[in-house]
Amino acid sequence: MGFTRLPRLSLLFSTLLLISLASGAHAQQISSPASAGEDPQSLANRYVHEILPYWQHRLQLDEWDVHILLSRPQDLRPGTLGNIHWDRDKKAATIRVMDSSGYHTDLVAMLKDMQVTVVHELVHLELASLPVAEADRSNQEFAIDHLTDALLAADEGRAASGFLSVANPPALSR
Amino acid sequence: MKVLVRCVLLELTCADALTFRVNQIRTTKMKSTLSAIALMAALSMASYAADFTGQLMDATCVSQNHSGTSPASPSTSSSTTSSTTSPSSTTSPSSSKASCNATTATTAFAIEANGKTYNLDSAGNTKAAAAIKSRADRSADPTKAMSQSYTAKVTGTENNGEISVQSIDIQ
Repeated sequence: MGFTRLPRLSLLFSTLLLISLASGAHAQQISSPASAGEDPQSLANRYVHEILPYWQHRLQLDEWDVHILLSRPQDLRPGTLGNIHWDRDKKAATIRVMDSSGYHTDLVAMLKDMQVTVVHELVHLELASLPVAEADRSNQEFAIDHLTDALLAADEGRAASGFLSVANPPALSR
Repeated sequence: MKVLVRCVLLELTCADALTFRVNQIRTTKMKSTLSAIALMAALSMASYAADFTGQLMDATCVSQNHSGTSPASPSTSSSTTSSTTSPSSTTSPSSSKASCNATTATTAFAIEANGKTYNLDSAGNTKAAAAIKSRADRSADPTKAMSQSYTAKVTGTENNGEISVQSIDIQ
């Protein structure tokens, strides 16, 4: 439904996609960011900015003004990978995603996890109008984790069916 | 000299010209004075506003805890209701307030910063309540309980233990 609104692929991700399609290579075997001449932090920053409008549109949150930024782990609550703050009246929100310094995984795993954070926080935004009691927060988190997994799995299905999926290009598929 | 020249050029009487000039000077002086007052007001406001970074607490709970640890003054234990207007800047160990973390149900907030606890004013309470309800995290490990505490940066002016909140930013 949102193909006309798909964000443009960056040169890097286009390259990764082409390489992946041509070789059928597994994600982890794709060229590292070092070979692309871009450090993980700036790559991650570019990636989250590219996937945000895609997922925002897929979740029909276009009317929201959503900003995204990478945060150092110490700037997030302990034991968290990201957060979202929203203003329902202004329809504005800010998503913070843990930056590359907090990840001790390979690049692909890091980007995939950042994508999970983006989708997770957008689902929170989807539910922003619902009041949540403190006691229900963990249950809500549990439900949102499952919804996020389902959304990402559905997106993988689109990619597997031959659809271009910007948010989940084959180069980054599980 | 200028006045005389103006006299001639504008074909005004010298009295008119002098009045004109005096009014001009008065207006300029008034503008300068007003600008100086505005600048001083802005500077004084800026100098009083400060940042308070620390744990966001439930002021009611803190108040109850504080009076509960003062057996020598039984009269205070009867007045444990939260009052955001009463000054209650206190120094107390964090352990006694471990269970006083602010939650989405909190209506009266305090912040523990620099070893002291400051109550927020009513506007601050409204802002803090809105901020705490309009945020969510993604836990690194969903099977583990998330941290129950909120770190906040409150900007405002402190007076007798209460912060007049300008803005609040919750981590």
